[in-house]
Formats: sequence, structure tokens, C-alpha cells
Amino acid sequence: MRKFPVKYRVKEDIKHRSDILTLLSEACEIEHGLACSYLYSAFSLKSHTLENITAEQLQYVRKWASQIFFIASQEMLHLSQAWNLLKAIGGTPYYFRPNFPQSSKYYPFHIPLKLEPFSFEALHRFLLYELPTVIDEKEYLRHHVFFHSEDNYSYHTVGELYELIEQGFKSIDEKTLFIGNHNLQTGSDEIDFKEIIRVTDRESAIAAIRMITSQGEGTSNDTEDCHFGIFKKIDSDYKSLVDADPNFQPARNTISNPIVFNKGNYSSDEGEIIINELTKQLADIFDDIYDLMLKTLQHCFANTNNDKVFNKVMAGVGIQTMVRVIKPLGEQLTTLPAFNDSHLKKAGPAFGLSRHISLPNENNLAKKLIVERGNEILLRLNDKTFDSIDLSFKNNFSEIIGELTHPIRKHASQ
Amino acid sequence: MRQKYDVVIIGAGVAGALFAFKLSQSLPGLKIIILEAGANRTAERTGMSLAYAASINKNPSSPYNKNKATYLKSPEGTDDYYTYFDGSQKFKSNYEKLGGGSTWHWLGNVPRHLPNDFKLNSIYGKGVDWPIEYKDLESHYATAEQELGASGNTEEWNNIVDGAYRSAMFPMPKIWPSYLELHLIQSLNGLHIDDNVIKIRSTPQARNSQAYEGRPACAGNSSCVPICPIQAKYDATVHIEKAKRNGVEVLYESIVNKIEKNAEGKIIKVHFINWDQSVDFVEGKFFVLTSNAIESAVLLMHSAIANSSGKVGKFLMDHPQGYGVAFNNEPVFPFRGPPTTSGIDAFRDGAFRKKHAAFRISLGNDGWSRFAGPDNPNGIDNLEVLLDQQLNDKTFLLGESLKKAIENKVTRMIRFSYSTEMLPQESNRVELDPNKVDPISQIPRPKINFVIDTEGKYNQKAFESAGSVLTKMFHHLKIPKTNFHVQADNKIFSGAGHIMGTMRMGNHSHDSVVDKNLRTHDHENLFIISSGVFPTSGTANPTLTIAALAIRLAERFTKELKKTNTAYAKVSGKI
Amino acid sequence: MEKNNPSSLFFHLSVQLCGVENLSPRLSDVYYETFNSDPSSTVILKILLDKYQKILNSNGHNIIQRIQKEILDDNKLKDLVRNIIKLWYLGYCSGIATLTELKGGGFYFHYEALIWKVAHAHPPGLSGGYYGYWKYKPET
Repeated sequence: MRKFPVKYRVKEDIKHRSDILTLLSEACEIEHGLACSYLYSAFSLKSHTLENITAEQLQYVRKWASQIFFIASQEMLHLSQAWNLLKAIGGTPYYFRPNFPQSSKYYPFHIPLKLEPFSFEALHRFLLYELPTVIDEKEYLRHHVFFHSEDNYSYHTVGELYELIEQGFKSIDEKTLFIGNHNLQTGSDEIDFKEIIRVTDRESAIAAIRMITSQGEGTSNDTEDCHFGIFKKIDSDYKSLVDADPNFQPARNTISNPIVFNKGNYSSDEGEIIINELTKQLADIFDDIYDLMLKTLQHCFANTNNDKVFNKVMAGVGIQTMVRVIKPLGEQLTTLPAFNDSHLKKAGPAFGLSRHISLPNENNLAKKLIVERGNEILLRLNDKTFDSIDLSFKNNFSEIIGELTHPIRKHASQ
Repeated sequence: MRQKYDVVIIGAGVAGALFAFKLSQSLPGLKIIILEAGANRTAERTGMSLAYAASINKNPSSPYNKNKATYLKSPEGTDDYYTYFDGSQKFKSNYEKLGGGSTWHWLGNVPRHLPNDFKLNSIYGKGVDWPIEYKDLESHYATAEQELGASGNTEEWNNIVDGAYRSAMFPMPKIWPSYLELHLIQSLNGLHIDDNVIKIRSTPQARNSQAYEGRPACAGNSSCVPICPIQAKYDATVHIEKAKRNGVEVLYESIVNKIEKNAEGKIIKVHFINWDQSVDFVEGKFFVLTSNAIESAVLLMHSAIANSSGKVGKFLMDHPQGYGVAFNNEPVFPFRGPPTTSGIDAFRDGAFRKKHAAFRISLGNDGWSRFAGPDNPNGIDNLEVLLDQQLNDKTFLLGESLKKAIENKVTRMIRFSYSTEMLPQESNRVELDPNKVDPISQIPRPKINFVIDTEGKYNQKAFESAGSVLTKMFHHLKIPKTNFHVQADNKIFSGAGHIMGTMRMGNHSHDSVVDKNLRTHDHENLFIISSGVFPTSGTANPTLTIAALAIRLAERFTKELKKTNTAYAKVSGKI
Repeated sequence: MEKNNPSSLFFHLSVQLCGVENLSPRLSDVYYETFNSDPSSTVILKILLDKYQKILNSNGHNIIQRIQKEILDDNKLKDLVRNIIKLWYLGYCSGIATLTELKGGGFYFHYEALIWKVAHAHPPGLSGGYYGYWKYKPET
């Protein structure tokens, strides 16, 4: 096997702003990617007693879905927190990430992020990502994936990544490092994340990092309620249910790593293209709404206008789109055929991103672009192509965009 | 013949389980046993959730009474459990008999008593004072919130009234209000009613707003009463399991039917009968009675124990409840999330308590339940009534019209409920019914006398005041009169499930059953932890106060037992 | 539509009565059997379905109006139609003697009751999703 020169950076090497910015951007990508991965598995979980599942099993499945959604929402919190950390040191909120399927070389994880339906394999993947640093990862590795990656930092779990980031925040002079405008930090008064921390100095930065890691991998005192602990419990319950009924299938039979249109930046051959035309059109709309949601959230965090009222509205649009549109549509896609034979696998959302295009900094322009894009998407949704499907989320999306057409009252201080 | 225990606990509800756990945590090696009359149904959660779903009448006992093999008869779901004295109103509050007790079916609200609730007599000239104050219990409230896992907004609740300080944050952030509640909050907050300003607060609740001690965050199953399918809502099996892991022994299906004392008045053993009719007994050094206010009082009376004051069974109280229901003008989508997350606490204390009882209002997310509403004077199942109204002889809707008509109404159902304080009145009491004996335990069934206002209208005026507040709120929401209904007559009250007062605390042995440290006046080694020890009711749901008392007693036990320097064999009994 | 298949006819009729298209065929079979096996409704059910078949056979336009005119004019048929609708919407119906609470998985009736869909909610006891969903307006 060819050996590549490896420039692994260990904790002690994190001494420059550029290191932290790079690592934080990787953290953004990973938190974002994890959220999508978790959401996909949660969307795939059955929700009706008529889906070849007993009522007792359905009680567990619904509980797991609620827990995984909760974890996914915390990953979005972590993404938002990473954005605050970036802003604090002169960086910019960043939402891009590689599309699925991802190359195993892209991150130093042993197993790449993947969109797959809920399964033991998916759960074990999740456990690996969230592995507490105190646990030997080899205990959890099912197979080794050989990879080589240059320009790499030495981390194999999310926890280790944040250790590197924390080291950076600790080693660089505080005054030198924290150059971001404090007023532009986003707080829980603007976005529905009650735990989000405004980062203005080293202490708040460390607190923010610790909040992320304690939720993800837990603390030395408590691994029960962190993501790792929750996944472990789900895994254990799942095993018990399978022991009791080997035919137990908690999830719909969906494809993995769906692709709508090959956007050119797919890194692996392991994706599955959605063939069914109706499903494909709807999955494309999902990607566009998802992209719009990300832009809206990113604008809320990144704009420099210091209008808290506007930011709150933007954040509201983003969150509302997530829970009232993305979620129902994502679930619906897992009930639709991926191929023309409806007895074969079902589809799922691809979470496909094309280009990282930020909205303009000026609030009114940004709002205009969001409304315009939202209306374009609504036009497609109202097309008779979709007459045969019940698109219950459509009215919600229409309402959310519609509310943006009203003027947003300026902040009293402006 | 069993070993002799250091501590024998009767009842594995929240009081007994929490007390056992805290004691076993601080005094490992102490020999503790809990005797629980009901079954161990911890592993049946899913099955019981399905039993609830399959029930036509989804009352609080519907998960539990389907499996006859594991169901011990209780007032839940049975009309004939209590008997009544002539002239008594019906006592409408019930309880469950199983490991974990009534916390299986409780709503989960955990507000604290307010400081003045402990001093009703010295401040307002009504009822009696407790022998302890808010500050005596505050740190235990904080521990209880940690133990149960309480979600709340600390800032909102710290010093809500004078003296109601909080020494600790809630362990979890508040439960998010529902879309319906947010709508009402936006419309009603700041409204002036008489001398009060309406402020809707998030209710402290033992319902997880995030993963907590291995239990998941609330997923909005909306079936808290009668069962949480995923245990996001606290129930006392949490502490039973914790206590067991610390070596506490728990005997299920063991109904204590006699507490025995010796000639010196010291409690020496409790006798119990198992479901298979075999009999047994347990000896101990200390005995702690923790079953609910009715069952505990009955056991004391049946055993002729702890009643030199003659007050056992007396001063029975509940929080009589009223309500107001309405069709909101626009859809607000009830039936989503916990049945309630928010309430109005403005009327829980004030000078008015010289004239009428306090009350607490809560917002309902679960439609109209079985309350009488506009067009439903009989108060039967409101959803069935709603259907019937679209399918009557005059208007029989079908198809899309039917669907739209139902949607139009069901999405606009809003409800306020209010819980009123009741004065302790000696004639309100539980006695033993000599004519009715439980077939398993051989203990006489409870015979109840219950009249909400034995004289004056202290409680009825609270109903009227609450009714007036609700009416004004509906007016403020611009809901037409034909679209709302307010119930303001305490003759038509609902029971809150808050059974209090039958073994009250007091400083004097002639008019109370236990002292301020929960030791019975008559027996130095018998203690009681129950809402039965509450001298007055306040307006707070009692469970958090029960839990705080349990923790307080466990701390006292620990402190005193640690003073002895032997392996507890020579405990003097002085605590 | 298969003629002489009362179960299919019952399903088709239920869709019309309830105003909801995606009813569960499996649940429909169970509900059909429920009424069919109840002595108080067996005979009247057959009459109902025969009348409905006639409406369909005559190139049924305005099916709802025809049901109202040709079926609901009879009180016994009206009562049965009411019970059918209530069973679909509520998952229970007090008018049926054989509908015991544990009849073959009564929880399915509750979980699939239409009232929760029409309310844009979920059946109590079966989660609507995840922590906090109740804060946001549902899909409408």
C-alpha cells in the first residue's frame, strides 16, 4: 500500500486562528452532516400500525423516532453554536458540506457519514461518531476502512475534534483571538435554541464547546443522557425486540444515500438515484426547500445589520420550515417509491446541496430573495404533477413565505 | 420468618420509594424493606399503554384495570369503593394501587406551596398554620425537583411572591408551551382583572424537556393522564428501581393490614396478607407509613394506632376543580403536546384569602375532556357529542362537509381549569365502614363524609371568583357567549386527585397526628409521609411537597442514625 | 368495484360517508365484520349496502346527495350510518354490542381514528413526533 506523507496535527499544534477556523468549519460540516444522517434514519421509522408492525413495537419505534429527532435538533443547535464560535474569532457561518454519499477520505472518521434507514448498522455508525473519548474506539469498530488524508487533523470522533478546537481557544491570546463584534452574536432571544451561548471571550467559548460535547458524548459523570447513551439504549432495546420477534422491521425499506440529480460533487458511487419521476420531482423540491432553510438560518447568523427583530423573524422562518415542512416532507418521501415498481425500495430525502450561495447582507434584499425563491418553489408544488399526492405541508410552507411578505418592524434602537 | 429490618416502609409510591432511596443512599447497609399492596407492573408499560388505547372510556384507571390478574381494586374506575355518610357530597378523587402508586397516572405538575400557604391562620385567620414554614422545606423542594426531574423556568418562578425564593435552578428548562397556549399567552398576558394582572407562566412539571437520567425527553404523547408510554413523565418506579439497586427489599402484592405495637406503645411489627391469602409479618426498628391519605388513615384506624388525638381520618380535603371551555375564534389545534404546560398563578395568594379560597388556573391542551360545554349540558364525551351534533336529525352531514365541520370545531376547543383551596373541616372525614370489608385485606372500606363548605362559602366564593376571571378572559378573547361555558358552582366540582389532610401535622398531640418531623405523637418509631399530613391544602399539586417531606425525613434519619457509632443495632429510636 | 362483495362496498361507502379518501382497507374489513357480526345490525347492514350498490349502479353522480335522499330517510339506516361514521372517527361507538374494548386489538381503532387526523393532531398515547413539536402549527 502506498504511503502518503501525513501531516497530522495534534492538540499541541493548534496555535493559529486559521487552525481553529478550519476545525470549526469541519465541525460545522460534521454537525450538519450528522443532523441529516440522524434525520434520515428517523424519517424512515414506521409511524402506523398498518405498516406491518405490532402496536407494542410501534410504541418503541415512535419513542426512538422522538429521541433521534431530539438528537438531530441538538446537532442543529451545535451547528448554530459553531457559527457563534466562528463569528467570535472573525470567521463566517458556514453551512456547506459534501453531499451524500460522502467519501471515506473526506473526514478522519473511520466510517463516512451516510444517509441510511434505521438499522443496527446505522445505530453502530452513530455510536462511533459520538463515542466518548474515554472509550476505546476499537471496541466499536466493525471493520477497518483504510484511508489516507493529507492536510489532516488528528481526530477520529466528534469529541476529539472539539478537543482540538478547545485547545486552540486556550492557546491563542484572548485579545488577539476574539475580534468578532459581540453585538452580532446570536442568542436564545433570537432563535429557538434555549442553550445557545453568545461567545465573546475564552470562558464563553469553552462553555459553548463543553455544552456541545456534554450533549454529544457526555461527561465523565454522565453518559446516560448524551447522544451516545441514548443510542446505546436504543440499540439495546432494539436487540431485545428482535430477540422476541426476528421479523421485526422498525423502518421502511428505503434506499440509502439517495440522489435526485447528480450535481457533480458526489464523492462516491454508493448513492442510489431516484428513478420514479413523481418522487424525483418531490425530492428535488425537498432539496430546494432545505437549501432555502439553510440560507435563511445562515443569514440570521451572518448578517451584520444588528437588527434583532429581523434576525428573530429569519430564525423563525428557518426553524418553522424545518419542523413544519422539511420534517413532514422528509417522512413522506420515505413512503414513496424510489423506482417505477412501487414494490421495490422507497425513497428518502437526499439533502442535496449544489452551491454555497449566501444571501446578500442587506436584510431587505435577503428577504426579497427568500420570498422570491419560496414562491418559485410553491409554484412547482401547485403544479398538477402533484395532484395525486396529499402534500399537507404545502399550506405551511405557503404560510411561512406569506408572512415574510409583510414588513418586519425595525428594532427600536434603529 | 424474616430478618428484623431497620426501617419498614409501607407503600411504594413516590413518598415511600423516594424516602427508601435517599436513606439507602446516605446509609448504605441499612436494612430497609418496602411493603407494597399492589403488583410490580414496571415491565408492563407498553401493554398498559395499549390497554389505555383500547379503552372506550379513557379514564385514569383505563391502563391498569384491564389485567385482572395484576389489578388491585382501588377507587379508580369503581363507583362502590367508597361509601358515604348521609348528606355527604361524592368524593371524586381516586388513586392507584401498584408499585409506583398514583404517579403512574398523575399529570406531573410540581409547583411548590407558596410561603403563605403554610400560614393560612396567622395571616388570613382561616384554617390552621403548618408547624413548618416554606423556608424549612425550601432546600428539600430543590432536592425533590432534582430527584423527580422538574422542568421549569427558574427566573419566572424565583420570588414569584414575597418569600418564595429558590435556592437552586430547575434541573431542566421549562417545557415549551403549545401553539394553543402561545396564542392565549399573546392574547391574555397583561390583562387586568380586578386588582390582578394576568400572567401565564410555564408550570413546573416532572416531565423531561431533555433526556434525564436515562429517560427520554417528552415526545408529546398527550396521554400523561393516565400513562406516559415512554416514561418522560416521572413515576415512582424510578426511585423503586434506584432503591433496589441500593439493596432495598421490595415486597409486592403484600397488603399491610395491621400495625402492631407493644405495651409501651412502640411499634414492633406490621402484618400483611399476600394476594394468595398467605399471611406474614415483618419486624423493624422504625416504621414509615407512606400510602395515600385515605389508605393510611384507614390502616391506622383499623390497627387502633396513632389516634389518641382522635384526628386520624379527619380534615379530609381535595382541590375541588371547576373549568371553562370554549370554541376559540380561530383554530389553535389542541390535542398536541402535554395536556397542560402553562397556568395562571395570580390568584394563589392575596388578601382575598380572608374572604374566599385561593385558586390556580391551568390552560388545557386536550380539548374539553368530559366537561359540559356549549351544547353539552350533560358533560359526556365531548368528541362524541361533537360527532352527534353533525349527525343529528336536522343536520346530517356527510363526506367533505362532515369532515370540514368536525375540523372547524375540534381545532378550536380551548379549556381553562381551576383548582381551589379547601379549608380543613373536622367533619370531613374518613372512617371505617363496618359493613363493607375488602375481600383480600379484610380491612374495612373507607366511609367518607365530604362537604366542601360545611359552613359559609369560603370555597364556593372561589369558584365564583374563578368563574368570573374565566368569563372575563373569554370576553377579552372576543368569544361570543354562545361559544363558551363556565362552570362556577362547587356543587358540580371535579376531583383533582389530591387527597389531603387525614393525619395532619401539628405541634400539639391533642389536635394533630404527627409532629413537624412527621413522627406520630403517639409512637416514637412510627412516621408518616403522605399528603395526609398536610394541615391545609394551598393550591399546589401535592406531590412535590410530599417528595420534599420524604427527603427531609430521610435527612433527619440519616443525621440521627449517623450519630450512633454502632452498626445500627443499638439505635435508640430518638430521631 | 366488485359487485356482491359487501366488504369492498362497505369500504367504498365509508370513504364517501367520512370524506376521507385514504381509509385503511384492512381496518375497513374489521369494521365491516364488527357490524356484520352484531345481531342488532347484521340485517340492516345488508339493506344499507344493497341500497348503496343501487346508487352506484345508476352511474352514481352526487353520491352524497343520493345517500342523504335515499338512505337517510329511513331511521334505522340513519342510525347505522351514524354508528359507522362514529366508529371510523372515534374508534368506538356506543351503539354496538359486540364492540368490546379488547375486541381484537381495539387500540388499532384508537390509533386510526379519523378525529386525530382531522384535528391535525395524533392519537393520545402515540407520539406526534419529538420534543417541542407542539409549539408549532401543524400541517393543515
